[in-house]
Amino acid sequence: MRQTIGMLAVIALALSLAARWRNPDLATRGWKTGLHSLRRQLPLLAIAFTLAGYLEAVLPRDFIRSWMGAGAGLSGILLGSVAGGLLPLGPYIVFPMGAALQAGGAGIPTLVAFVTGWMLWGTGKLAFEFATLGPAFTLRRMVVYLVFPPLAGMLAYLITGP
Amino acid sequence: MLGVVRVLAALTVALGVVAYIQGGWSLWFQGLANAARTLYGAAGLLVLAFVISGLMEVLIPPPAIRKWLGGKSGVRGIMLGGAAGALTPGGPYVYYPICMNLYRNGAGTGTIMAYLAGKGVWDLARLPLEIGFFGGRFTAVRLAVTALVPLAAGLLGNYLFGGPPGRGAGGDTP
Repeated sequence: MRQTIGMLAVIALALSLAARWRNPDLATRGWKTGLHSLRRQLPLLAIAFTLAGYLEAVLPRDFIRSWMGAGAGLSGILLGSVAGGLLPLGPYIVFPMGAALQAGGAGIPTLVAFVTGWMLWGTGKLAFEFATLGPAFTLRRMVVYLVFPPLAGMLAYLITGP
Repeated sequence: MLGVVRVLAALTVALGVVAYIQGGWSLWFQGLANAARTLYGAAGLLVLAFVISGLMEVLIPPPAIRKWLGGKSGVRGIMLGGAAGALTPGGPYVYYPICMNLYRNGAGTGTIMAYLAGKGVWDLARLPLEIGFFGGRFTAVRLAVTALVPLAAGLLGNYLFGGPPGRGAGGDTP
């Protein structure tokens, strides 16, 4: 975690310098935009972390291991894809939930399917898509994206093994 | 947003009750302790992730992406679409208007499919958060197995629903 924070700090510094180089006010505006967004999301974040904490406490580890563990195979991958795809929530909520499942014993292939399912099928963006590109496009996109989350889970299974 | 907060709050309360029924106050406090532990570990990460997202938002404004991708189609459009998706910060309220504009200005079906897939699986601003919550190994595996998704989605989109750029679903735009 410390390494990740160090890496992020370097990225934030580099982006700040790039923004400052382009326009002296741009870096300040970027920081303000980010921190304002964080402040707006704080209530949601607090609830999301609490929810994930209870999920970790309540979900029986045996259940997670047998349904979502690396040994769950294809059924775990399909379950992960559908569960991720049905979540109409942002990354700051979905990732703590996924981390709770990981702590409970969910395997990498299932979690890859879960995260990819959320990234590609996520129902949270459907309203925006309907409004901007129309329902016919959404239908076509769903046909095209249908196979990717389970496929990603299966490929992860081939890489990481049971 | 308020609706989501309420639903999640109700779910959290319900899970708290389940925890109490399952294991009394000790499991109830265990849930809170889990939350505090994760939040303590991720607090710095969250602040930096939001700041990076804000900086990317001001450094790569939506008009720049529109200008970069406008009218692109074919394999070149697909590749550029995936890359542009990875670079686009923000939520659906930012990138769907970009998509609508691109589509109306002649970008192909595959380009839009690749753009949305690139935003989904390659999103650079979200990557640090993923590493923070799931770890480097998980993120590396996830990136490796989804690396070609934008390209594949774009090609498949053009193959199944392609046609001259800007045709197709663009016609359904309200």
